[in-house]
Amino acid sequence: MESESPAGNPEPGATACGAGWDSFGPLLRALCSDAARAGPLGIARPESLRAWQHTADLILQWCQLQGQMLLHWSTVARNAAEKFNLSARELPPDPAPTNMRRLYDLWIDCAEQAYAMEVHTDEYCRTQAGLINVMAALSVEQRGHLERLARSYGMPTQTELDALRAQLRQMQAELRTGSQRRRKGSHRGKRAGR
Amino acid sequence: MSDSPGDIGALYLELSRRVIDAGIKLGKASAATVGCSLKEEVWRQDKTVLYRYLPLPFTQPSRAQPVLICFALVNRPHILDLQTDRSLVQRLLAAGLDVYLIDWGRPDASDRDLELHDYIERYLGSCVEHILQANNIDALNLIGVCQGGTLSLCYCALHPEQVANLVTMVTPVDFHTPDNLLSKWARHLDMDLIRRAGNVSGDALIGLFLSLSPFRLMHQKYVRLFDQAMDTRTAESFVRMEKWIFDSPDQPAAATAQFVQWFYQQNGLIRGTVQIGGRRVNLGRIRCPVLNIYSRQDHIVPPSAATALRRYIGSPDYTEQEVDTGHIGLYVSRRAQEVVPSRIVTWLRERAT
Repeated sequence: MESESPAGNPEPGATACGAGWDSFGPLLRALCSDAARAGPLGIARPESLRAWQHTADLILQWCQLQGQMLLHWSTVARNAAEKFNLSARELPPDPAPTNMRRLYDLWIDCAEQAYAMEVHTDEYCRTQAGLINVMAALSVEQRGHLERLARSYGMPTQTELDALRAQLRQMQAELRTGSQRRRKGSHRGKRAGR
Repeated sequence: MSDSPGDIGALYLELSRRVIDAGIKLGKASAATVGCSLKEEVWRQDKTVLYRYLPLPFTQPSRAQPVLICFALVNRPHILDLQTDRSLVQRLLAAGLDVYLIDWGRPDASDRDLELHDYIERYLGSCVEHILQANNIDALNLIGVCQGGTLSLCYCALHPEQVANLVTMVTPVDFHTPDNLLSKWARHLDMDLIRRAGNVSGDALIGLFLSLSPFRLMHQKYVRLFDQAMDTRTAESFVRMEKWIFDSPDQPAAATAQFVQWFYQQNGLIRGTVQIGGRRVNLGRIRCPVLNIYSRQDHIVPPSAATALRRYIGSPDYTEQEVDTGHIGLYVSRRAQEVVPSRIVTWLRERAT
């Protein structure tokens, strides 16, 4: 849309702009439609999106497992309190402060018993293992994100370092085998010399 | 003590005094060093070092073959030589034995691909070879401690001709006994995934061991410090133990994954499914005399996990020694110090060739 002077004539600059847009507009539209056909770029690329989606899924799993773990811990606390309540009643009534130590030890015993009861259950073992597995998976995912970032900056990645290390280990193993063969050979030589 | 307000006040004053006193003594003891016996490095490959302890002066050398101690990967081995009155190494030296110890070092990211084969055949095997050559003998005495005992059993089964006598201390053999909490926790772990995540952090391991008995190990132990007035020696012993407990090296990813999968998950040692370098580990091939020492109150390696050994080895000369302590107590407790070293020395002397 062109701006007009108070007299109703278009401004010279506005005319130039309009002419510029007339030639630039179709080019920009073409570029946009090409870009749209090419799909999302950068961080929005499908593979990046999938990786971030997976990370988000793992974080969600981790939160769910943490919730389950809290339930287990609340069971431990409840059972420990019940055990302590029952056991403390059996103690002779003695309000002396020195009795506090005995009560403390009793509380520890009850807590350990309640804990042992809970942590041996299959549900607890699965929850704890699940948490560790998810944390390991998150660590692997994070490493993947960092690898992509490092690659885009031309920096060495963990995969490249691992490949180099594997080559080094192979060379060391070959060196060891060679030196062992040499040692055996020299032993045989000495024996033959005798 | 009566419970009048004056007595209560005095009690709290006493408690406060003990807390402050313990704090000061622990602070002073924080410089306490671990390890009391003189040793020399005799062999090294990568991060693994073989040490030979120097004989004690005026000690008659024993007729028994040299002793190689193989400790666990998950902790530092200096617990066996913590201080003069708590040192298995020192007692063995005092009996005239020639003592060697493997220090696995502190693995870092460059060691993540090390496998059990590397630890058993390459490192432990090279240490054994070195000692055999240095002493011009065919077989030595091997003492395996905890996880190191499991590695020693594997080695002994693969190379029975190189081990004259085998001593296992708090060594898990049957990993699926009902009271083995670590094994239950490990059962559902995805070790391939954990392996891909890299080395297992030492701090995570410390947390795992403490969480086997969290209220006693993370709370009661510290409260008990204030039970009685603490002397400098007690403070130093406490500090040394704490330093050891909180000093687990990171674990190489591949070896840890294999150990958990083969032993904890598949119970492969007694099922005969473990393969090291393509060779099956068959406990039945262990025909040398075996002394199996275990703790009655062990929360890490329950007695049932350790005593299973007698059913699977092929040795006709098998001895068990139970000690009424916990897992760590077997290394350092006064009761264990009275029983364990002398039992090992007598047992080895009886079998010295």
